[in-house]
Amino acid sequence: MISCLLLRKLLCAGRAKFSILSFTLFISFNILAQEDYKPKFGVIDKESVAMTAYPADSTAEAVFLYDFAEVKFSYDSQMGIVMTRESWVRIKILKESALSSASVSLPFYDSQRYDKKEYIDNIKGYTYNMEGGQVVATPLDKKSVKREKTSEFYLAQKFNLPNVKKGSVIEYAYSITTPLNYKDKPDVWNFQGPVPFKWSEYRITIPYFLEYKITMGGYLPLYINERKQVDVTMGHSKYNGPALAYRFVVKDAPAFMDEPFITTKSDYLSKISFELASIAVSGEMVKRYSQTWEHVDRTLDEMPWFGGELRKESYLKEVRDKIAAETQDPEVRMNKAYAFVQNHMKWNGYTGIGSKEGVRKAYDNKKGNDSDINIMLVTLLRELDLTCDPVILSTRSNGRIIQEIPMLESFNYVIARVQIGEKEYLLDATQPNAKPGLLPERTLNGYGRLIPKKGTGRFLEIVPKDAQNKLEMINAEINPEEGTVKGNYSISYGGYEALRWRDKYTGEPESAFHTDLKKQVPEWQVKNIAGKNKADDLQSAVNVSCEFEIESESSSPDILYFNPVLAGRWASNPLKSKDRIYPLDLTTSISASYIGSFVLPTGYVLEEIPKAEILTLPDKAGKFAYQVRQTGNTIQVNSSILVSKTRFTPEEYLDLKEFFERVVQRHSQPLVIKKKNN
Amino acid sequence: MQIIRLSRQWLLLLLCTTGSSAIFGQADFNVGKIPPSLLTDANAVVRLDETIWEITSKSEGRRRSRSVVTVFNEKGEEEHGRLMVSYDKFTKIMDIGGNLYDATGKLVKKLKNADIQDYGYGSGGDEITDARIKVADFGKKSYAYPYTIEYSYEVRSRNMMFYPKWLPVADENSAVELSVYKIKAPAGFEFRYKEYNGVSPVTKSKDTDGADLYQWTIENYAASKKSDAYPLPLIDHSPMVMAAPADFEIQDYKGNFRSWEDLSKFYYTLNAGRDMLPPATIAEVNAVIKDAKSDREKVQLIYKWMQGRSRYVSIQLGIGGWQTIDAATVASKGYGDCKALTNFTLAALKQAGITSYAALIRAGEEEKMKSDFPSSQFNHVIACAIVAKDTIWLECTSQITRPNFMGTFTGGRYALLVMPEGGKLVSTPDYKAQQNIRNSRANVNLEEGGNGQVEVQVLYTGLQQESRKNLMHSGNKEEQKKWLLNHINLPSLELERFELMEGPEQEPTITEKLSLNVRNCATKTGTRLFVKPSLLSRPFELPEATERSADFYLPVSDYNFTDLDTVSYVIPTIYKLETSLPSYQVTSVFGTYESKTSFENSKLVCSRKVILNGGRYPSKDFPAWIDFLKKIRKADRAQVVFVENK
Repeated sequence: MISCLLLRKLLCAGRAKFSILSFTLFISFNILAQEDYKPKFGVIDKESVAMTAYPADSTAEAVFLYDFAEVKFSYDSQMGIVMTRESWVRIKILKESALSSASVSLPFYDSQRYDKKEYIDNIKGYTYNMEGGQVVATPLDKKSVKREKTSEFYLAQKFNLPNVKKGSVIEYAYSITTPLNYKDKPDVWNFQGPVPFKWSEYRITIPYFLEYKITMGGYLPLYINERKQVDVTMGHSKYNGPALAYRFVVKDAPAFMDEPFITTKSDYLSKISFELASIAVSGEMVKRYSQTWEHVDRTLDEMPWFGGELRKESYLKEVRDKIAAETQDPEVRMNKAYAFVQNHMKWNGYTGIGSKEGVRKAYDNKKGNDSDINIMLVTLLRELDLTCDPVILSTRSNGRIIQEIPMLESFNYVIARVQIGEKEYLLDATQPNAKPGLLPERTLNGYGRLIPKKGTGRFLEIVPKDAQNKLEMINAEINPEEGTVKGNYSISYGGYEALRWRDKYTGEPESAFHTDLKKQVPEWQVKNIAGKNKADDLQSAVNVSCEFEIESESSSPDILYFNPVLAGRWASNPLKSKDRIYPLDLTTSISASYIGSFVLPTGYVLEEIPKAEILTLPDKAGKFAYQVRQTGNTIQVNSSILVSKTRFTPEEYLDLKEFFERVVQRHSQPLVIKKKNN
Repeated sequence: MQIIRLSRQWLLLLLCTTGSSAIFGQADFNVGKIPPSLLTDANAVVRLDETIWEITSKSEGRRRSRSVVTVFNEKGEEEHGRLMVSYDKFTKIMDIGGNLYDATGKLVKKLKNADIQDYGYGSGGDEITDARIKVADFGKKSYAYPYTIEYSYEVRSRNMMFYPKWLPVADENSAVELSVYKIKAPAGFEFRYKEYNGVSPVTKSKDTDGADLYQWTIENYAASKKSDAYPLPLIDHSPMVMAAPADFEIQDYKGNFRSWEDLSKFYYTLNAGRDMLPPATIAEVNAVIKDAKSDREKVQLIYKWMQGRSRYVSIQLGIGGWQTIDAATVASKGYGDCKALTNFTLAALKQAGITSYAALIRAGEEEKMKSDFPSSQFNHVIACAIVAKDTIWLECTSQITRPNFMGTFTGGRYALLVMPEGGKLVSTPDYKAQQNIRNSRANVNLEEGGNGQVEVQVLYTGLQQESRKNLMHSGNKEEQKKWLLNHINLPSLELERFELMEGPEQEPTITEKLSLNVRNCATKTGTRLFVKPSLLSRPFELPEATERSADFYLPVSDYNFTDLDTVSYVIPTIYKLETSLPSYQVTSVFGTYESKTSFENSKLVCSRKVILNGGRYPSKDFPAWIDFLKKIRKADRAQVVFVENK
């Protein structure tokens, strides 16, 4: 258990990304020393309206002066337990581009069933402007609020606040009521957004019979973190009783800035999220939701859309028998089963834990989500007597899994794990062009949880076996007199590079990659473009080759400046920012090599040979080797970039940036070739 | 950018012009029946596509569509797999149907109600509208390629301002076996149409019920092979038939579109009398212009006042898609769509005694219309004030635009002035190369190892200032910095300081100041230093194709410009010049390029001037364009080489 005070300290230090707020500690933290902020709706301070720029971020287009939500639970005889969120936001508009924040759309869920639909009520709003040194408030006209059915299950309340201009402060409030039958937990609350938030406050009062796991995420400290025991009247005697009232405030949150090489924004945003752990109404059976990992495992096994699906196998009998008759070798069986599911099924682009309409149905449709496809794969492999279990994970865009907090709903993807002897294979058959074991990038997000047939599951790290492999080679002759460089060029794409290449060109006419190759080297005269192993053997690399001729650009026939990194050149540094706030995630390791071999005619020499360079990143995280050698009349150039680590801390950012910088520098260096003076 | 939805109805129709079984019956959709010549490079083949537009009266019409498409791969499926039909208060969907056939032409699935979804048109955003859309597809199941999808639907329209436009080969990666557009009208009913871009003339006949039938057909049209780097605008090269009413009725309004003047008049009638301002607003206007010395100044002051007190929102309800919210409402709410904000501005100008008109326009970068066919092709409304026989154009949906600046959004095209009588198309200001300037001066202090401290000042005018102006008025410092980092043409750099400033002149200008710390600003190899004269200049891409048979188009929004770049390097004294100083001059019909270099007193001064003129060029000029690009690229690659004094 981590106490809340400790949590705050850790957050301040920027190290702890999360913590569990304990429910058994009935302590309240009243931070009396701190300045509190409790505005009144419809009453604004003149200072905010008069403000022309926000001191903490002078060019911000808007500032959320106040972003407030309070969630309370109650009982309704028709809807059952409902949660009601009172929301209230106050925004200062500083630039014209933020005027659209006064056009508001509030979506909410619609259903035929009374106990499943949401309601939005009490929409009210004001716009405040300075007029002749006075603050003038214009209320939102209730009649201008329009309700629209946006799709089968959603409605939206839409309105435009009046008289909004640059400098205005707008505020609006509403309440949204959600039955627990529709959604059993409050929405995630973000303390941060694309513009600065001056005061973001979230309150929730949780009655005694509901237990939620609360998770804090992000990098900002809590300014107020209070918890009090209170008594609540719910509207029904069996629900009345003690409750915990929480209050969380983040003050002066800067605008959230997106950075390249991150998993997904929500992993870095400061936020609070909830997961229902149990419902324990006095006098009734306790209903437990995934409270421990063992519960998660058991729940999954019991659910018809997961465990249930894993126990159905009749539809696979025919292919099972066919593969079983062909071979006894477990690895061959695995590859055959993988290839079968890969070819039979088309991924519909959706991710999720569990089959939607049944794996059998998906099998007949030849289309399904990740669960349909990979549960089918697990089933088939188990039927072929292999040790195979599903692994649930969260895709990169879905956010990080926090192992300390058992939550089934954090997961949104299923893959398969096979064990043959000592060897482990992780398989995902959703990708038509991936070899067995090559997991798509979306699945590379740290850890997954293995759900075995019997017993408890465990976490395993999902480490890609393959890198982004690219090897480029040039063999050419330099002819300074004719002013040409002539030779051949070959590229070998392996691992994730091969997957990308195949995803792009499989099923496309041959001309597609020819065109793209020519586009990459527009000044070259290219002929005899050939592609080998485009899709025949997914286990091996794709090879592309061509012949070329380039006009050299020497300013005189006696001296030639020539950049020997003709291909595979890193022309610019992918890391542009001076520093970094968030960790960096490259997804997979990188291996990019270039070998150039150039023959000089007799009578020419390399005037200067650049020094060889070998650069390593700490802890063997990466290595760059660059060398130019002359043997006889041949110049040999080698460049090899290897980044084996995929996750870097902000502290390591500058090292990595410098590493890339040196690559760019080396790759820009020309050789100087001179005619020998006889 | 903000656009009204005048032509929304038919945007979607373009995606799904279709055919009718009444004429062609149940054909054989076996994939083997496709003429082999159509299979090359096609992601899909439109087997049959028929649209029947049946005009029942001046106030009502019926559109029936049927399309049968064989898809060969995922791209073809993405393009044709889904049917979208929009509707609103004036348009009712009577029927949607679909069938799916396998490669042999055997029916394998029929579209069910569960395959059809219904969405609000503005569901994604905060737009308020009553327009909706139905989307149908067969996506639940995977079918082996090739397979054939058939969709048909029927829509009843009571909005007769619009007749369907026929663009049968809008998707260039699909071949078309047969596409037909039919208009059926009561005998003798007058309406208008025009063929473009090689469509064969209409075939007229009589239907069994005596009605007039007009028919256009396209057959065996192959997919175009490659992606074109410089395509002509679609409506300038793709076969097309435009149709429009002569007389029509909508709700209680009657109008006719025989000429631009008629269209102008109709719009005027629809919106007349909605420009009454409340007394308080009249007082505001009078106060705003009380010290103005000229009409021009009055216009500028009123425009600025309007920009400061109102904002753009999108509200399209009922006939409100074409009829403005009255000026009094805009005055009290402080918001409106383009029609409403324009109407409000015109009301204020009228109060100030300035002659002014609303102007209908097709807004958007590189948006084109056909000026020889009067019809509703507009999507936006702006204001046009007349001052001393001069026009001042006012974009009323923007709070940051200067008066009379139209830029890529509304510049260089036709606008229809809305008048009770004598409305006509007029040209809006064009932005030529000499108006769209980037003038940069960079001073570089080079260290011996090649690192450099760079101070840059750039002045942008015309179209070239648009992106910088938008940057300046949105986003915070960090976001601006990120944008600049991605738009500075250097392999790696640190942006230490930057500043964006608006010029005070009426013609908008932006000055950008940058302080950069550039590692390897010059490349050091051994004892040599390689210096780039074209540091920070705009790069030129070279297309892959070297010849073409069709005319090509260099979008004026990208290609009308003048770049004047000067870079001054201070070279460390340990170096002496090794090479000659590059100097290039390239002239072509597209423009000119000139670069010069001088070296004196350790100062290397490199200047570069590029003038380009976009527009349509004949195919025979294409080799010259490639040659021009190659020469520019070569000149830009030139380096000045220094070697250490020994």
